[in-house]
Amino acid sequence: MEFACSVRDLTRDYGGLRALAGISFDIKPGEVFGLIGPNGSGKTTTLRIVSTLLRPSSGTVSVFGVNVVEKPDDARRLISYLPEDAGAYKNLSGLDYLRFMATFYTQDNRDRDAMVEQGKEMADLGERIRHRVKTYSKGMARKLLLARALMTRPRLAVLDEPTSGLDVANSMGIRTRVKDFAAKGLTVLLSSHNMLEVEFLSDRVALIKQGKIIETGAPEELKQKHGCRNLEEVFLKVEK
Amino acid sequence: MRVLANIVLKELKELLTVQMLVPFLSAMLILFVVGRVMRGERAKVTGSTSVVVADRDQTDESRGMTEVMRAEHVALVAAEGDSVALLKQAKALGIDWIIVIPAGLAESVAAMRPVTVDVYNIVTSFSVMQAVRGFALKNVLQKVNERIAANRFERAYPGSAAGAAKEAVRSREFVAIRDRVAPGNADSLMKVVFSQLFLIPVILLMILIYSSQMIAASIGQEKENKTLETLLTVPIKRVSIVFGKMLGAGVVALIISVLFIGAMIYYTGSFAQDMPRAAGTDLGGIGQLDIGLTVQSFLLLGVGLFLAVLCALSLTTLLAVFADDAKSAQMTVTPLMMLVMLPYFFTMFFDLGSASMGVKVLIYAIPFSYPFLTPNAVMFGHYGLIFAGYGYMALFAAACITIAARIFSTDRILTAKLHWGRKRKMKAE
Repeated sequence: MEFACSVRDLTRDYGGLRALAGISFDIKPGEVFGLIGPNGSGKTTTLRIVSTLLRPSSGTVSVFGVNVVEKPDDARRLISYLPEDAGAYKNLSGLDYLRFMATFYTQDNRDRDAMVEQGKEMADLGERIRHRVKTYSKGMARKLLLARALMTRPRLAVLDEPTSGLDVANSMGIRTRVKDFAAKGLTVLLSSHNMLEVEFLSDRVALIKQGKIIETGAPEELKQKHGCRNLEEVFLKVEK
Repeated sequence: MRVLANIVLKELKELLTVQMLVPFLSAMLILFVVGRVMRGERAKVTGSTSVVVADRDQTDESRGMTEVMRAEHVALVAAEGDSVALLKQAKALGIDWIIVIPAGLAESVAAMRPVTVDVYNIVTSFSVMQAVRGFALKNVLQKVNERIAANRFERAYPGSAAGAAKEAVRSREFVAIRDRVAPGNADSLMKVVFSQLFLIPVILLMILIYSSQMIAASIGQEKENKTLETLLTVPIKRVSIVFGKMLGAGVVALIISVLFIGAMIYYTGSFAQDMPRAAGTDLGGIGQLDIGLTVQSFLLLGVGLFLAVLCALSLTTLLAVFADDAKSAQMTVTPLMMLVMLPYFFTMFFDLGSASMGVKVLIYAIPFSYPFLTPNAVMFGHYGLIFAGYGYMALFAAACITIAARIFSTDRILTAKLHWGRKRKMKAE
């Protein structure tokens, strides 16, 4: 079986600090896979390696069979990455930003326009999509960025803390969009330190601490296994 | 090509903001306004100067004096009364100068006694042009003196030339540059050259520094806003990102350079040739030396400036890799500022020809030196230096672009950091 994403014995050192200490996991096509862990546990480093931004110190990562280190250009065609706390270009309008990003994914203008139209729909910013990004609230900017990440119809969407710093209403909006995207059979790898959010969104999760995966499984399965009511309790129990 | 155009277009939209354009346009507007004012003032100075004249002698001698003044393009307004009344009349007429020819002028001249002519100058400002008008009027009074002395000489020695007696030995000065020789003196030449060149290094410095800061801020902001992370994960070659960013900043710098050079030509043209003449300096045949900066010279300077901007952009791209955010990006540009400032000050105050070998090597090794060296090199026909320098700049820029593209292709673009002061502890995320 070809995995959407296969991570094997991944390590990453920053100078003398080991950020990832040999993690492995597989994501099936169409699955929503969540990485859960506290700040500094190695979630973002993992996502950055999968997204071809960082090179691993050792280990391999392949996306739909493409090794991200050996063939990063091919891997980038399959991936869309949403960094944590990312911004958009402040002097572009939301619409210009979507058009700017869509142009990298297709040579065909009609295809590009269709992508942008889908992005507009996902962002759901109304007429504000024509305004400059610098006038957007954090929630509006995040909706725009998520729309940008998903409008290109990636086979693997890599979302780092997709609702970080957002209020309840905006967080719910983002979650709904991710759910809708996943319902179309596309694969999602996301990270969050909000375990309840990951529980809501994910088919399977990996609990990560100090660069190591300490538990993997479906949320329901983990809760049953450890006799907990939610993933937060599971994490607290497992990390001991 | 489509990808590159897309990035360049985005860079232009990001860089060409009102906040960025206002300082540039203001500087250019100042140049145009100053140039326009200088042209107007020049016309006034080189045209006729108005003077209120009170002729209290009313003899042929005093009338001859006023004739000399008229011949020197001085518009005379006759007036009468004491100094207070004359000042009042001059002020009412908006005239700054009053000359009072005293009674008994002819009698004193005939008796070979010195005559004192009172000259009043109503000061309304402390501008350079006010001083220039004063020089012009003093020259006119000198002519009057010469005319009176010549008349005296004629009366004493009929048929002899007064000039020959006054200056038995005269010098005829020539200036030689390259293979051209022209009548004139080095002092006048310096004034002409300085009036054309003094602004060029300042503008070169401004453009180099500003274009470097633009690309540094652009990369710094991309890192700070994490837009760079997004951009680096899209399916395009990293070299396209480097080129696109540099080309965008380069196009902006080029537009600004062209506008600035246009403003500069207008500004320097407003008083390049005429200021020394207005100040009473005889330019002689200096024009024959053909040393002025022509349109071709400015185009050559433009090419040099563009290459220097390209060097600055590529070097800044390399330096900005180590920045965390827009603020630290500005700090990483400091070494580049020094490389630009050094040739700027050197070419402004020293002569490279007489510098020691070490200094020469240092100046020639800095790619930003060549646009600063170009105006002088053009005037002295040292085109070999210009073209060799420009070739060196092109190679330097190509090397920096290649290195920058390689860095963008690795994860150093995200992980490379300069630690100012205490080394920060790395943190996994």
